[in-house]
Amino acid sequence: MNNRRDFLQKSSILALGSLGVLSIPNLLFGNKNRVDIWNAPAIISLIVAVAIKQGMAKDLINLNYKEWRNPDQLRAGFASGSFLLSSSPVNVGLNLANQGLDIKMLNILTNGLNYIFSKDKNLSSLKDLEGKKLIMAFKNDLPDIVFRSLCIKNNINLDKINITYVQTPPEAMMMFLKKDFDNILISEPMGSAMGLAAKKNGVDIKRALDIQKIWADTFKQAPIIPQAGLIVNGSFYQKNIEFFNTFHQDLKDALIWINSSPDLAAQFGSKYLLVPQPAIKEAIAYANLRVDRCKDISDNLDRFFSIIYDINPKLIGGKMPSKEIYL
Amino acid sequence: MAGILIIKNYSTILLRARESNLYTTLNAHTTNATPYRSANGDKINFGYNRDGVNLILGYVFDPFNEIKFSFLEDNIKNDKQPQHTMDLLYTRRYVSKINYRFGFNDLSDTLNFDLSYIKLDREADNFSNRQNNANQVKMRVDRDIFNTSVKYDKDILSFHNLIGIGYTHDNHIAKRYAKANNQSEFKFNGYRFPDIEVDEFNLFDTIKYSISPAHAISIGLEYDYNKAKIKALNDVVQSNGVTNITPQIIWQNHYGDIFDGDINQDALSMATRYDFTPDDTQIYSLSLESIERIPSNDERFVSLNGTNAQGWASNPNLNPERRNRIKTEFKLKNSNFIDYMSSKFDNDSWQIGGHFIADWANDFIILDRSKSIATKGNVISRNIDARLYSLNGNLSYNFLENFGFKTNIYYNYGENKSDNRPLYQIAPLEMTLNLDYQNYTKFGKYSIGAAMRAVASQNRGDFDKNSGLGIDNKTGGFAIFDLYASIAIKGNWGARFGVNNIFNKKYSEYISGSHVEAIEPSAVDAPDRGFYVSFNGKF
Repeated sequence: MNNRRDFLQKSSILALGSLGVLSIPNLLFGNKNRVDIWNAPAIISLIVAVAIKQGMAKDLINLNYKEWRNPDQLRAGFASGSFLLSSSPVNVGLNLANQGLDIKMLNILTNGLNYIFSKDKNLSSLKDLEGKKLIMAFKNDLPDIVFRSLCIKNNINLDKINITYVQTPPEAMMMFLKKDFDNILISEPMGSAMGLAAKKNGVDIKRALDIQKIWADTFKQAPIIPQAGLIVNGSFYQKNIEFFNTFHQDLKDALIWINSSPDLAAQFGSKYLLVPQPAIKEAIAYANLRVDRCKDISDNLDRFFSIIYDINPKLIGGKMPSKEIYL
Repeated sequence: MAGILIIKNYSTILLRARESNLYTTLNAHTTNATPYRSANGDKINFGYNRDGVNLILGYVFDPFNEIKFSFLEDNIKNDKQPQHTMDLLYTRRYVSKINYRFGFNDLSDTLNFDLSYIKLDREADNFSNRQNNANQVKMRVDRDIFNTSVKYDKDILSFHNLIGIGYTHDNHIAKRYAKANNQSEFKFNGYRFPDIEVDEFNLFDTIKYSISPAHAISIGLEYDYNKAKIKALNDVVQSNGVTNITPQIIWQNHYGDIFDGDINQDALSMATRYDFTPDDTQIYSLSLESIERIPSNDERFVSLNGTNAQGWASNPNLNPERRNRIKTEFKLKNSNFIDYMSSKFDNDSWQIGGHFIADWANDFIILDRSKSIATKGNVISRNIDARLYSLNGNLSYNFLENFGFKTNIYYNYGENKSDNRPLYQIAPLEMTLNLDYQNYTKFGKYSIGAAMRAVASQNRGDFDKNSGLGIDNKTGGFAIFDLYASIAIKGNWGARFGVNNIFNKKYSEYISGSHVEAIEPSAVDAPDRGFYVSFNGKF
């Protein structure tokens, strides 16, 4: 009996000891309140991922990287209150705010990452797209809005461009490479990934039109496309201003690191953006990555939104933003 | 893009370029390996000098036409091999290959044409790189292999069919020369390969049927026809009084057969495989194989005369070997697992995998010792029946964002069922463990890690020349520990450094490796504790 009792006692001690060992990570790394940062499957998420990993803000709030799959999930997340902080195309954030949700625009992480790739070596202007086939993903999403704005302003006859819309960028990419589409409008890093795939398959394509440059030439009063950034629940922001100030600096430091170490950034980014490392590295050079507080570039944001508003107010929720939305 | 990597005695430079249609890779390398000390301070006369280049040049005409040329040159000089009785003075290999693809890159409707040529020159001796007061022996090897094949891949509904035909021409000659201490010149005294010409034709077909995304069945068939001719069958390699020794006589002495030097053999192989992939995180497979293999040149054409058990006459009339195998594999992983030390979003993740192979071999080919009075102790080759089993398990676990742990266990078992004794050179139980940490920092990235390799003692093998070949050496079990670290600065410059065998463990490997004269290897102690550092750059 004694032996049996000893055995049970020792077993209990061993079991508790094992649990103790398992709990070491929690003891070492603490159990702060955790906040999910929701991210787009796009190159701007690299800045956020690096900031979470290397920055100081994670010492204030335990940060967790999450990814949304499509803008519908983003909208539903904020509507239900399960999203507090997320990357977002600027029009989606403004739309949500204009629908009465407590959403603020925190920053802009890219000044545009859209390009038109072409199989036509002579394509040099939007006008050359007339009479040709163009494929792109996400009808009425920001790249489409930007493209249509440019065409309207430059008197390009959209009816003369044979546009095909598909559900996802990878689908657009595969159809462009395999079928007889002349041109594709695509964002980074998918554009760079497509360039690599084209080389492998012997398809001769070129990065023909820089949408950002055409935008700057077309809309001289608003020469920048503040395409996407982070949006945040307003009351969550007010309760954690110190965290957000720190996080902003983390994002700026992250961008410096990415630009100075593109190879390492691509290596790191391959865990967050499921495209090949060489594509991520090339995309960094073409993604116009930025870290700008919205309140610091509010005039530019207003000018950009006014252009969209003039084309179709519904695209930004029916009204121009108030200054209070910019944090 | 270009890069350079320099490790203590190893330098390499790599150039890569890819344009829309043209791509190329060029690599050049040199190695200078030197003698080392074992853990008990003995100097081991090991080392070699090696240099070479690799070139790949490809041109993609359009999505349906691609041509690729590959070239490899590899030179090894003064390859000191303390485990064997001879060292390689030099080995030169040139490999040229052209591939032309016509059709889709995804092999859905694609014709592939391959043409390759391999040129091998080699010389070995037992005196240039070691102390030798006995008779001097050297071996000279020339080999030319030409290969061509045409393969056609075609998707038909849920079927993928690959059909192909191949042809290989192999010309292989190796001569042995010897000189006694009191002689001034080497005399030709034997053929390791008596000018062999082999023509082999292959016809193969594989059908894969995807029943659904989760289930697939493959069936493969291959027929090989091998026609070998011994051109130096009756060359006199030695005179023994009034008797001239030729390869024909050497084989006749060992096997009693007289033949005309032509051997025609064929082999038919069949295999089927079932793949079950219920989702991205699970892969299972089961293979049933019956593979017939025509004996290699080593296994049937060596004809070296010798006394006192120094001869080697492999049997030209060996039967093809048939391996009837069951193989099952699996891999399970967490949905976040990308690779070891790489998880989606840096979440914790894991992967486990393993395989089991059971192999019932008929006419399994082994080397053995002659038991007949006239040739007793000489090396021969023969067919036996054998059983082989192989078991592997592995686990990788990425945790706490920066850590990784992985382990791998291997176990192999081989039994000569004809003689009820172990097969030779079957690796003992082995386990490896790695624990790594890596982090990205302001200056770049750094990592540190530790590795352990534990190998069981080997008391099961072919140790005795009187009962078997006697090629194996009993070795003790050992566990060695390594530490290593690396640092990358801004992605362009980096360094690696570490300590191998940190506890200065004395040990030797059980597997000897193949060699031109690798029938009596001796156990050689591995290096003692060693420090290393390497630098690399990219520009």
